[in-house]
Amino acid sequence: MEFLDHLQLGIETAFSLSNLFYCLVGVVLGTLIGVLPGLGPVPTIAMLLPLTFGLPPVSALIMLSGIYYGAQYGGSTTSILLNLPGESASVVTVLDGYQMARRGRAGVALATAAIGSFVAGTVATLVLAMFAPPLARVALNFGPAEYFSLMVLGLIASVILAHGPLVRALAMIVLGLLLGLIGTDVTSGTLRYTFGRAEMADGINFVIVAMGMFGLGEIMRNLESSGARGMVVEKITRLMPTREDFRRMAAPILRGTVLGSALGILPGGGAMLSSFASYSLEKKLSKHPDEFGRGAIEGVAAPESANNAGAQTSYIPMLTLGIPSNPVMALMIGALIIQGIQPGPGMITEQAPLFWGIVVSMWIGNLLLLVLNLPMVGLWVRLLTIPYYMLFPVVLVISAIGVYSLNNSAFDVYLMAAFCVLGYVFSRLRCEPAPLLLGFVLGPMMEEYLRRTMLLSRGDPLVLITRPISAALLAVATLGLLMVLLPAFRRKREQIFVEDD
Amino acid sequence: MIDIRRSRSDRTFGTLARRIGATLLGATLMAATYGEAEAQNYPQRAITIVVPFAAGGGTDSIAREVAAHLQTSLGQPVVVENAGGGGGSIGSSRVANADPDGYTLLFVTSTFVTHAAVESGLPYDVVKSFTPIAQLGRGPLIVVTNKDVPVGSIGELVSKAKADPEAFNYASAGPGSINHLSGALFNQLAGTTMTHVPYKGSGPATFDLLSGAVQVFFATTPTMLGQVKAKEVKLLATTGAERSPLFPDTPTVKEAGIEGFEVYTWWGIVGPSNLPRPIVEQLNKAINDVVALDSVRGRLIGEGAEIVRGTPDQLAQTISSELTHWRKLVADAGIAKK
Repeated sequence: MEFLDHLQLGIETAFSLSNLFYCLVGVVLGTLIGVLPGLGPVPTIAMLLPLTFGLPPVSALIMLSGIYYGAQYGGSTTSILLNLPGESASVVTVLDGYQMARRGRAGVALATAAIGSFVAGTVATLVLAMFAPPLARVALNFGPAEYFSLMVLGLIASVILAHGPLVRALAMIVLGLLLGLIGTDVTSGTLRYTFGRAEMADGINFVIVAMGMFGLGEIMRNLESSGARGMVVEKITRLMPTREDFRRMAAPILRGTVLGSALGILPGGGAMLSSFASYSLEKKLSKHPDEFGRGAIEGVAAPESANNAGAQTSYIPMLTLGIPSNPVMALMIGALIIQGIQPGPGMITEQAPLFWGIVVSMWIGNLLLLVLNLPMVGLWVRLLTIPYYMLFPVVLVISAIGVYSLNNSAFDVYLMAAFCVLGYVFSRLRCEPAPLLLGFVLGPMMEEYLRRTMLLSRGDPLVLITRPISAALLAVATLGLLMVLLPAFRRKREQIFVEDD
Repeated sequence: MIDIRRSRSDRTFGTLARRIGATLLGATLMAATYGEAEAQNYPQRAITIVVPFAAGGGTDSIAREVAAHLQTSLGQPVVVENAGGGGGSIGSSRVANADPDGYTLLFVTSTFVTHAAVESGLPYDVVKSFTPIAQLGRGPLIVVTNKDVPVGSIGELVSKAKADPEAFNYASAGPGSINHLSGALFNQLAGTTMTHVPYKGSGPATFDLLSGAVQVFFATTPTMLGQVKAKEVKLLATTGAERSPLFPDTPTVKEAGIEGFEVYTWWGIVGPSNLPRPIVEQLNKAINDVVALDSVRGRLIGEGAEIVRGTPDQLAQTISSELTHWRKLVADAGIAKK
């Protein structure tokens, strides 16, 4: 009954007219910046922070949260329409979402993303409301050794992610790992491969690599293959999913939600893995894995649900322990501190209206996003009918602004241009950028956790298998590796590749 | 049709070029009379305060609050620009190379100095490349341990860490951070050999402290305040010369017998070198007034810090003495970056 009392408190808080208004402002703003490639929630929230000083803490956090998950929704739009992922979570959406768009199913893909996100948001909010404190304890069982093993598993899964010959996928993963080495070594502080450029001291921003290789690389390819006509789109048939589409997306959405909710709890990079992991899982479970990468609706439904679920549950470490799991959370903690609230373990009980108000507002925000986004689908799809010679310069300029805004640095824009060329070269060589990006994301984290594990164990690698969670993760990873290497599976892979040719 | 349009645009371009020429000439003339007159009318346009960290951290949030109040008192927009990366060196070098006109300032913290102490190849000199303007405040660190670690005081920590050196690790927000150097200083003065485990920022470090993967953290107060209040971690000591008003029952590390152990984090604002004295004075006064405002002061005190209202020279003094202090430790403990 206590839960219902709390829920009532949350509903009373979140449904006040002013809080509904701030929730709406938040999600609309979030959708907007999510749609603009490269422009992320962090600079937006940082800019809006002074505006929240005058608001009650609940309203401030409701608005900032709205921006955060609104951006997650909006981010899928450019991924699907323009092959332009603005954040790590939407990279996987590109793989099948963009292919769906090319086949005239952009509307269906966008609607799938919105529906999947809504279902995931609803479930994850419920998880947050009911189990936040115990789940935070679970997350604390994840030490450096466990994170390392989780990353190993992720890397093995990335082989499944790729289609085409195994050796090319492996080469791309390794190249990604190498690119990830650039920057300051976390353990010693030594600079690696920065060529004396201070801008590279923190490594290359993920957004730069993703936008350059996927989005801008695709523009070059389009210009090459069809000149000013640009991207070849089959006639747009319908905007909303068919009954068959709904049937196919239901299970992936649920699995994506579960996986995303679970991984989102882990502050050390779990949310980032969720979309990659759910995509690999679906491909593995699917009866027609050959459709993946060519516009499979499961390939949009699962990762979109996973990343939204992960975004919601990543609030758990912040709200229960006061520890930010990403820069957006850090900003929100900053906002709370300015309001005189010290985020920490006592927050749920001491600030009950705040906690429950935010939880309920998340669900309201997700509903608002669905209501706002479904009618927008038609409008977004019309974007594809804009002549390409007008569309691509606009995309270029907006991408450049977005990347510049990451760190107010022109160097980043040049870097994006370099990755654009690289992306084009790889596409000519028929090497896929997705495994590279996964290697790029996982490599540095894997190294960081491994070195920390070794530092803590004084150089004894056995901790990786004596700690039960870590051992279990490594066992699953080994199993996955065997499956990739086993002859039967390999034959199947190669068949797919032959079809591909 | 097309021809007419072209000639029209040519004409427009010509006018534009002449206008630009006139503006440039004007600018040159103005530059000639720059100096005293300019300083008297300062500020004429928006002032940028560069925060050399990504948006969202504790430093950023203090800077934004100060900037908002400065905007009111100076009557011109005061914009915070985040230029994170390289342990703060990217933003710092941007300001070091800016015009000394008072329109580009740098928000500095103890990291500004600790980073310079461990890193030899910085593109600027923390003393020579900047003009100190004002310190805002300073606060001690707090020494906390995981709640299951069987020590209740600094004395016990020292004896247990000496008896079983393998059992103790201390976390930090990265190599060269104030947490790292505090731990190294503690090891040196107390004769312990706790292992340094660096993280990417305080957040992940806190997580591993709570889980028990690491045992000790010389943390900045705001990072751990919530955990200390909820008794999720054990507070052993504060690192100031005197006890913190926030924790009057907690001894200082010095009181616990570690002679010479005194560590503060601090915040301040500097400009590029050769900033005209009148501008420095004007900004110093404005900043000192902002710091005295109830909201800013209340916040800093609430985070365990104290406000500092000093002259530019006092900030210069702080920077140079801290630099000497940390450089000596870095040399003695052999933790310089290669």
